[in-house]
Amino acid sequence: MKKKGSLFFNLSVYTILTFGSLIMFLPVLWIALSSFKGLEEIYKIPPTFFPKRWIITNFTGALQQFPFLLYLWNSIFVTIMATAITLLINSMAAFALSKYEFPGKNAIFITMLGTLMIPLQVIMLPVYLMIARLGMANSLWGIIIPPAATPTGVFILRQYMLTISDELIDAAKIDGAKDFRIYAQIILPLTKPALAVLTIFSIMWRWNDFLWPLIVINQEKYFTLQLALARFQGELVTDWHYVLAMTVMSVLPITAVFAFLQRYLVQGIASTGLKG
Amino acid sequence: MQSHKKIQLIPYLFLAPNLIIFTIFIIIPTIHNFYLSLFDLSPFRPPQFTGLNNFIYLFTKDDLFLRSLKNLAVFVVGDVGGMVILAIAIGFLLNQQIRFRGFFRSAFFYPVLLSPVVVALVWEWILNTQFGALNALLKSIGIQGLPWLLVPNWSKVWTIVVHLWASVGFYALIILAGLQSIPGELYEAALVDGASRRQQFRFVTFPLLMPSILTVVILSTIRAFGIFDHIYVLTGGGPGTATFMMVQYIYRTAFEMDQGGLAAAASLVLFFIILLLTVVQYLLGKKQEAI
Repeated sequence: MKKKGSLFFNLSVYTILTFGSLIMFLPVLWIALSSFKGLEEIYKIPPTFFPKRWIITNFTGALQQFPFLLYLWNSIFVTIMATAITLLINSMAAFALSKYEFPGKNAIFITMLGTLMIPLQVIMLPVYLMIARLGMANSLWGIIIPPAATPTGVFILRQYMLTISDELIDAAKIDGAKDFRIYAQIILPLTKPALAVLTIFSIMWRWNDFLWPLIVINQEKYFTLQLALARFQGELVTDWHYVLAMTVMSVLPITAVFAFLQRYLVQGIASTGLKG
Repeated sequence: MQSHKKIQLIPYLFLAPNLIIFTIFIIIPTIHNFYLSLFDLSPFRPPQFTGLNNFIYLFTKDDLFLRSLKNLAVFVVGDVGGMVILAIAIGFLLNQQIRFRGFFRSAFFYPVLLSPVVVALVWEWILNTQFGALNALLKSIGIQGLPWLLVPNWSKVWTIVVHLWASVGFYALIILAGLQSIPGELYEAALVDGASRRQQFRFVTFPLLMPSILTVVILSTIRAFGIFDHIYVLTGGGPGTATFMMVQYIYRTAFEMDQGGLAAAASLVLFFIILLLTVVQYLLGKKQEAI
């Protein structure tokens, strides 16, 4: 469709896109604006869009009423640790699977790909039993470790590493470089774009994760933000002004990550969406 | 690096950390699940081997399971159908030669970033009978609002709509990437041959876009079958059991009712449904490509 469309065609495209964007943006914007409203305005009929009076006591109140900072810390800890571990072990596995020949290589790779069809939802009970047996139930490590060996991550990185020329490696070998140095000093720097993609995916998965933490954690001191939000929303008398404020605070970090890294993200979906 | 004759240890060392976690937390549980499904695992009795009784119970006596299966079927059809249509439509619109393309792309993608919990909270608030924006909007044009999430059929509709809203941006990007990977020369050639816009779509775009569409269908089907978070927070499976899905059944049976064997059996049913559908879709896609 490279040729310029007619005026009518273009006009309809803009209209639909604008209308669609509004549907995507307005709900979140309304919630964000509502978090600055007083309780009486939140419960006003009909509801307002912009706050009549801007206040920040919902935020300060939420910070005082709930151990919000603890939940925030738990979420940050889980997200950062899980992402670091995922990047490290996935990239090591991808290195082995792309740059070596060894018995069992194909079997391992195909098994990993096959498990893409086994979402956690389908094996949550036996995974939980495993976690419990290893003494990781009700701990942040119990959230972090099991999903870290994601086949998706290995796949993305392997596909990228395959495109790196083996001549570079051979040259380094002649210079006497050992395998680990080749991995750390040649392959990893060249894999940066794919690592960036996996980093964003991992941050999104972990920050937003709900079902797995819900299963692993039953003590409030280990709640992540998502668990806390779901819990407060489910309470009989919900303090909506606090819930709205916490919702907005929980969305800010991921929005910031998106703003900085969205270029990589779009590329990443493009490249993983294409079948290999 | 293939010069060594003897079996090298090094690649296995690089694989080890990932492979150990993968084996402990994916492979073993997957096998363990089969085993668990053959037992009665009540916490008050020692585990008892019951053969296929759990499966027989699920399909003949367990009303809640059958309802969750039916609800899930309705959800998957609506969700995957809507997802494919909307993703293709949005992908096409975003692929036009327009200004603010980056902005529009971000706008449609933004909800994908939000956690299911946040998505559910946002929509719960919008759909609220008294204070929600939707009913207020409807009222301003003279339509009486409804308690959306308390009417069974409407709550089914809204769980689909909310999930579409939250995820369609992701699939639209896959379609967009597919469209952009079609070489422009093909369109030029088609133009030279005098192909109309419609013919271009039928004979150039559509066949070359098929792999991307297939990806969208398979990914969204797997995800739809695994639906839990959004609905758990938005409706809790209600009203009644109107939006009670299979993962919630498994979660409830395993962790609230302590009937591990039954939960494992239900998990296997879900597993085989996903497996079967993925294989069928894949084969159909292959056949399509061959034509």
